Amino acid sequence: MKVMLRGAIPRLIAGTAIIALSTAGLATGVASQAGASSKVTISVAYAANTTFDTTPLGLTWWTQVKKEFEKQYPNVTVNLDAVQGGEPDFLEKLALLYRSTSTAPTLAQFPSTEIALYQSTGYLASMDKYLATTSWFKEYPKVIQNEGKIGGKIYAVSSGENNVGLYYDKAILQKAGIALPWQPKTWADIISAAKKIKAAEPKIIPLWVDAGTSAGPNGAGYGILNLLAGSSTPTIETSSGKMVVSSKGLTQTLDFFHTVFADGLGAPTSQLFSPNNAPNIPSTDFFKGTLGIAVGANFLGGNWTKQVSFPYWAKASTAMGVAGLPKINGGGYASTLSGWDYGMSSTASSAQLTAAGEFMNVAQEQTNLIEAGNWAGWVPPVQSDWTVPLYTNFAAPFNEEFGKLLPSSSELPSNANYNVWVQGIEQASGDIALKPATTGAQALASMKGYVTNQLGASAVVSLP
Amino acid sequence: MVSTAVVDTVTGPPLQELWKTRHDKTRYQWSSLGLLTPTFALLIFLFLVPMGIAIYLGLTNLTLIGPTAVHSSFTGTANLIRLKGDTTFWSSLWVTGIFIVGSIIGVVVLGYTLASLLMRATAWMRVVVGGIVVISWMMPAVTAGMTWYASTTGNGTFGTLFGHPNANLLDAQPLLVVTLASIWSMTGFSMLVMGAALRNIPSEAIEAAIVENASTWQRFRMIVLPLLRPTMTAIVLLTGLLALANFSLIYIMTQGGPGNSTNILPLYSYQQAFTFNNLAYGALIGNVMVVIATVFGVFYVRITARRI
Amino acid sequence: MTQHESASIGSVATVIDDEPIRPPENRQTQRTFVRRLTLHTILGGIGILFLAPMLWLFLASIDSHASWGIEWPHFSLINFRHVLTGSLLHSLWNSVVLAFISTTIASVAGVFAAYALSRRRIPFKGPLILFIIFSSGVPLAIMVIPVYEIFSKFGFLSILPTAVFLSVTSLPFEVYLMKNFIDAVPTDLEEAARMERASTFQVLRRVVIPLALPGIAAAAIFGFVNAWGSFVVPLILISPTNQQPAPIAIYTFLTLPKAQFGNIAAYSLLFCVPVFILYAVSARLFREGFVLGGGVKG
Repeated sequence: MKVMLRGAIPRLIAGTAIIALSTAGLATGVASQAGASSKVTISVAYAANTTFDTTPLGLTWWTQVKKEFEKQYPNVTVNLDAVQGGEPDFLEKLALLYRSTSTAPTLAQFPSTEIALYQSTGYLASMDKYLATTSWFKEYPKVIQNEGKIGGKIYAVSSGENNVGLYYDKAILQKAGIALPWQPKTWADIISAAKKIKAAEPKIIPLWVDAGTSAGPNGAGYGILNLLAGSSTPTIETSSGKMVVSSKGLTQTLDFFHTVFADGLGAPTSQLFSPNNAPNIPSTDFFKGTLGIAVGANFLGGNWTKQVSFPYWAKASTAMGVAGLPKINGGGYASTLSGWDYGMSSTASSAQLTAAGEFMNVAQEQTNLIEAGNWAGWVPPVQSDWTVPLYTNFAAPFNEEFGKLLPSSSELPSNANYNVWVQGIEQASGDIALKPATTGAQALASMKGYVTNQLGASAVVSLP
Repeated sequence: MVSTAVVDTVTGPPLQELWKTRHDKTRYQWSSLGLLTPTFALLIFLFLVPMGIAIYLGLTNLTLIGPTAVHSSFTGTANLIRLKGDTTFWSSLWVTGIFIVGSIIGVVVLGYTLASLLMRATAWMRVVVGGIVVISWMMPAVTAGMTWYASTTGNGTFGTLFGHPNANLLDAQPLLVVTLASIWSMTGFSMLVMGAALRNIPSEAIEAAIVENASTWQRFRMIVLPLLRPTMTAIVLLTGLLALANFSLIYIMTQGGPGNSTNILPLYSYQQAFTFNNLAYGALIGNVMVVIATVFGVFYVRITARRI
Repeated sequence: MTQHESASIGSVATVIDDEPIRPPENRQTQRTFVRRLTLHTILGGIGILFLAPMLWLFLASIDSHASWGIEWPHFSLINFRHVLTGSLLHSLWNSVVLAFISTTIASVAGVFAAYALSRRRIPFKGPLILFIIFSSGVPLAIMVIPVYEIFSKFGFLSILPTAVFLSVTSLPFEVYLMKNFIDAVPTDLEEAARMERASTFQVLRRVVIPLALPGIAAAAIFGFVNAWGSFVVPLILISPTNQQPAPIAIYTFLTLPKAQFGNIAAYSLLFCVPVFILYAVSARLFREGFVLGGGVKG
């Protein structure tokens, strides 16, 4: 500072001012230390663009929760970090944030498939003591409670779940001579329905199943892995942690894919490989009337509401139907289960963790939880919420239907090698979609080769 | 030399050389150290040191997240053995080779063609076509990747131009399209440099050849090519290096897919490091890239070092 | 004879048969005309092929309902209006900061080093110059992982340290370029300045830099364009979202489910503008072409 003070008096004033200010600073410093529990800052990281159906909805929800929380706990400051980017970018950035203590978020929301990865690195703190006093965690179905349980302790807590079923356009199916309401019992039923649609209306895409790598690891979760879940051997990861690279189930699944694409029943690769979040494209296709059936996640229903408007389709509730995805030879439905979970940082102070626990409490109370479910396209993890009007009326009847289907879904693995395995199966499905002449066996062989080569022979296993 | 020596004598020799006063050679000066320090400090700390770390890192088991993210250890040749058996790596190497060679051929041929044709074209043509080509070179990689993606997928410009609006050229021939995009983005530079070099060819030589009834091809082979050789070599090497390092263009267009058909080394290194979380293995692949670049670099130095 | 020449002679021959015999000059002119026509057609064809990819960018930016495909636009300038607000504009500012700081560091360090390497006696000068030339060739994407490790340990994963790293990526080439220019500047004025007991700094400021300015400016422009278009480095090294530069913003928004292509195209066009301006400026500086070791006059 090049302030020249002429004369003694100004200098005196300046000097006193400086002393006064520094003592004031000292005082507040001391105060904040003495009343440590009074002023706490926590940081909350979430994916700005890929959790909620639209970025503005996400911002609205988080801001509303933050405001509610800060009103109840005025001594806590919440720094919201909206991490930008598509899902793969979000995951990279989160990993980077966790790497240094200064940037590690006190509370973060991430996909359930990452839980084991973050825990094994030591980034996550166990949350059992913060969950013990809550009312909502007890109401989670066991399978969702166990989503974040590793070694007997809970490291992550679900904020919402995704499961998968069949969407179909009633008018198109009717025109193809298929009885409504449609509920296929086996995979063969699905294929025959798709073939009927193709025969009746050649210009329409009969069946949408996600294929290829463009949607990141989630793409498989909303597509091919649901078929695997309904096959004879749904195992992806054995109990010893080895990844399955060959099994009857994988063969069946890839054969199914081959049939779909070889018979021209699948969607074109220009849509499947789109960089703009391919799993959401069926909403637009259904709206335009160019798609008959889709293997789709529960959030597709929410896309047609006014709040999300992707696109807004007032008639969706009457024009569309939902069916469970059957197992290969019947006997029930199958679906993958994956969600977005909260995790706490292991490097945060206990005051911060307590505050984070309280923040989570506010976020998980019924209205907030259901609104998150509605706007992010999740089924709320609390079972009783599935019949609450706020939820069922939102994207009727889709929300309600997928709530009913949730119990038949099974959790996706959360394993360090999963990323490579899923890349392998997505590449295999992409190969078939791009070159339908590829048989299921060929695709399986290339997947097996790739995954074995990347992970090493000791990390993989072939099941009969 | 003499004058500098005189100057130095007038201003007095630098302290450190006082005991060996020589008036026929310029002195070292302390200020030289000061002048060089910023550059070489930056180069040492942000180039050499990272290079060294990369070499070490490639032989550890460091991951982005997972058990060995915080506490990694030196694993010796484990990564190298893995590299040797990694079929994706070898296919990536192959794809990179095709990409580099394709880019070089395209850039050199197109650059020369444009330079020599534009020399004999009207001024208007020179401004318009030359301008378009240079603008395509100046376009940042992200934008170039975006426009090429739009132009080669369904309903894109190229499809429509050639009569098949729905053609998904990018997925049909990913490596070809990506190489074309790379050529498109680098030709401008080649055209400018070759143009300057062509203009430096003495016209007497060309006229003499015409008088001797040499054909166009003979003129090219006997006069133009030899004179253009240093420039062309430099362009070959520069293009090769730039193609080797190409990340954003391909990342935006295909992200290495479909499958691994456009997964060139920089992209594979990024995939291993940040998608599969194998930071150490990704660094090792990066080191392979350094080796390849060094080979190019050695040739480049050989050419340009003549003019030190 | 080339194909073109024989073809043109063939076509000329029919004309000659029908009309009175003309003097040879006209045959030459006819040949030249066809040749020039072919030349311009080829050039025009190449020009169109080079323009084609850019077409989408221009059309989508003035289209209020743009998509990935090429279509007749609904003419509107609304995309530009959308883009000049909010976070997209902020990313553009981040790009300016990043490129400006990076260029300044590289140019200042570069001028000093170039001057020293050009004029001064330096131990191991040869190897040092070789090292410079070698470094300018090594691709950058390689260095990002170890630099990321270093930066994350020191908490440098933000815009300013990234700008410093970006300066290193263009530094060697800038030094080399500037050195060539300073080599071409005659030493008489410097010696005169020395006689007047000018310090090194004064010599630089008063004599060398003004004389070598075109080269220095060209090198600086190279560094700026390099940093401006950089993608993978800020992608990995800049952690906070609000510090990310334009290319990252473009990529992020491009892959959203509800990507607004018109906005992105308009934004990309704006993003390209500084580069085009700088090219025009550097073209003025280099009337004859670029300086490159080999067949070009320096």
